[in-house]
Amino acid sequence: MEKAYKVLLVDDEVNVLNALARSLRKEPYEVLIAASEMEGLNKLYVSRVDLIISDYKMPVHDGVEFLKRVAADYPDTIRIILTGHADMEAAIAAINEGGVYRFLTKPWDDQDLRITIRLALEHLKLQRENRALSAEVHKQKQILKDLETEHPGISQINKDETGAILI
Amino acid sequence: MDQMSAPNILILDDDLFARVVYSEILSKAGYRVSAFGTVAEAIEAFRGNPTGVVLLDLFLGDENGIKILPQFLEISPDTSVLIITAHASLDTAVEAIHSGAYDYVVKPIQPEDLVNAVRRGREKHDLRAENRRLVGELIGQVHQLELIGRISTTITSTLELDPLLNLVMEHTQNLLQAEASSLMIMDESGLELRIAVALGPKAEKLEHQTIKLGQGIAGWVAAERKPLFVPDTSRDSRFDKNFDRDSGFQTRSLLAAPLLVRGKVVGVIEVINRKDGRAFSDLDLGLLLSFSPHIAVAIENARITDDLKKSHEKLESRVNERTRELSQALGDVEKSNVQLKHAQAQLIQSEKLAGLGQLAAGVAHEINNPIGYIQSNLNSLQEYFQDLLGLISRQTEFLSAWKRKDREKISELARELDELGRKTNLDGLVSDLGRLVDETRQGTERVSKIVKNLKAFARADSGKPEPVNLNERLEETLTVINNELKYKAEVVREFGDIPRVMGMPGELNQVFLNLLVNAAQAIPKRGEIRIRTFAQDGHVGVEIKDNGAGIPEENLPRIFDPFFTTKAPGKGTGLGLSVAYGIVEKHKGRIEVDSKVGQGTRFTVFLPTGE
Ligand SMILES: Nc1ncnc2c1ncn2[C@@H]1O[C@H](COP(=O)(O)OP(=O)(O)OP(=O)(O)O)[C@@H](O)[C@H]1O
Ligand SMILES: [Mg+2]
Repeated sequence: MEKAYKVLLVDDEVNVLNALARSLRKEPYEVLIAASEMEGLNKLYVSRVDLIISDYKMPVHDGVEFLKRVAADYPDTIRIILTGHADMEAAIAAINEGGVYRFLTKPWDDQDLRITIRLALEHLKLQRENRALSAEVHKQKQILKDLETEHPGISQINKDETGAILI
Repeated sequence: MDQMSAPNILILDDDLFARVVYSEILSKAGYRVSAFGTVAEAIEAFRGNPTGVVLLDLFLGDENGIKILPQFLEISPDTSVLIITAHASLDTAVEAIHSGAYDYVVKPIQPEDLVNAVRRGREKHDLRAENRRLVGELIGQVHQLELIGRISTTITSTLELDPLLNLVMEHTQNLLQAEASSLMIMDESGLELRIAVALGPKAEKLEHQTIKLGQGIAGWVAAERKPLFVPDTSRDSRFDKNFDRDSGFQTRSLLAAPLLVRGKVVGVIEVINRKDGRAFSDLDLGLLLSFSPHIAVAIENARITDDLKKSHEKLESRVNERTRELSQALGDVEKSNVQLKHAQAQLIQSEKLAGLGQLAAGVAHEINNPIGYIQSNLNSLQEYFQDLLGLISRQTEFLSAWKRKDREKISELARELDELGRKTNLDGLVSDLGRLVDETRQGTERVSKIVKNLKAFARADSGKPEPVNLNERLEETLTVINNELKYKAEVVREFGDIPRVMGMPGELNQVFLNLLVNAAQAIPKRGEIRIRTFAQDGHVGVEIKDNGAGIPEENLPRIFDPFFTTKAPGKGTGLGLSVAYGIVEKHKGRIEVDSKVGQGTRFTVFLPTGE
């Protein structure tokens, strides 16, 4: 059965990724992992990711840049930070510029993490519904408008030989 | 109730102190709070004003908060119920979420956590309510479109009243060779006739006049529902002479017939003065009566059309109105999006503060990565075992069924086992077990390495300084790490004749160990490490030189910082040099670095001889 959501984990430490993937393996969404920002961007590009959990400080690129990039290119994706790094500045920058949904710290609690992800996905679902509904309202509004211009009123006369009006 | 001042958060907690604290925190954050100590009070208030967010203590006296939760949701399904739980265990929180809570906060409560959770709850509530409203809106629109569709088709197949009636009357007048004619239509009240069409000389003067039921010829005809033939108006008292006076026309002879549809008078038709000057005859009346029913139907149809037209117009204006409402609703959606962003910005602001405290906890944070996955792996391990145990117990059952030759049970269990094996992903699980244990062990090794380094770092004045022979210390250290060095480098010793220094031998060992390990790690394949000791200006110098990768200039100022490392994640702690630095500083010595990328690095430690 195809799972409805995709969650991407990005962390430069493979052991962390594996542990996270283990604790999420029975959850009702697909879990993808990436051991670097590059790999993360790749995965984002290839598959439609709904939620991304990322450490913010990774060696190759600045993790803040990464989150900013994700926010810009995939604004519909919920971003959560899971970090054990003690780098204060980077954390603040990531939060302010990366537009994150929640900031979690290591060591993490598996159950808390699972609940957080589920709640976040529910939030996402609501947001998407909201967007779809707004679009639908837009569309309907246009239809009503078209109808008005298309319908100038009554101008035609139909009658039979006796002059009776045909209804 | 006044929208502006109505509370938007409801708190239910039997602890008065907690109520006061939460109210205080949330009021400061700009919420309007109402707090209650009993379930009955809270539900009562909520019924009157269903707030977007409810804060619910899980253990209210004897009543379990989870049982109360559905009562709130029943009253207002969009409300976000936030659970406060005193339990360190998250099980109750999970149960609450299953019962419809949207999130939980664990005591002791951090103000930022509470405010953030409430904010998210409001956001969610607003989204839900908004979506519900939009759905309602859409359903309304669809109904309207259907209605419009139906009415439009009806209207386009019918016609406008006046041109048709004019046509009909001209036809009638010609047929009866009359000088003039008029058509009167009964109004909705059924008490008054309105002249809809008047043809003939001076006719324009009569247009739109009204005639009361029973008044004049037409009034009589409408009241009596009978046709009337008046050969000479001057002799008929029913004739209302005012008409002629108003119009300046002289009526001599006329025919009048009621227009009936299903027994109801819809109008009266009058034909006046034969053109040839003669009076109308019975024959003329018969002719009029032969087609007056058609006229009646025409009028009725036209009236219906008119009604439809009016209702269509009304509908159109309602559509317009609705369209305006919709565009406003859209504006609201956009506005709520802006608010969402705003809320998020504020959330970030306070998360920042929350983060500050945590990060201030300091160096121990570096071990949170390994601790994190060690803990998580242990949880997973437990789950794996549970899965495996389930499988094993089924297998045992299977075996005993096999021994009993219980065919039915065997095939049933075989199916179950197969299913269970697939569900637990047995193969994946088993092959992952080894990796799980391996990685966990790596984690514990890493933690103990960090802890060891930190201990060396923190071990301040343990013991008393003693005279130390550094050449001996170096030899000792080399034997300890021989295994790490021998595959990487040729170790060349150039030990000079040096005096003893005063210091802690164990700590000094640690310094050399860290420098030597770094040197070995800097060598990609195979290289050389030179160790030279010398006496100089009241100091003893220890030089450790490698021909490895070297340190890029931009890194040089940072290598002594705690946690600065360029090594693979999970490999270097970045503590080695900072520990060495701390120890040397304590011994009143100094460390110098000299490095060139691609050529190698030289660390020199100077320690005072104390003379
Ligand atoms: N001999 C050397 N040659 C090249 N680079 C070095 C050398 N010594 C230290 N460095 C650089 O300085 C950094 C910090 O070294 P430090 O000993 O403090 O931490 P580490 O070696 O990375 O981690 P750990 O000591 O826990 O293994 C290293 O990551 C490396 O980049
Ligand atoms: Mg080192």
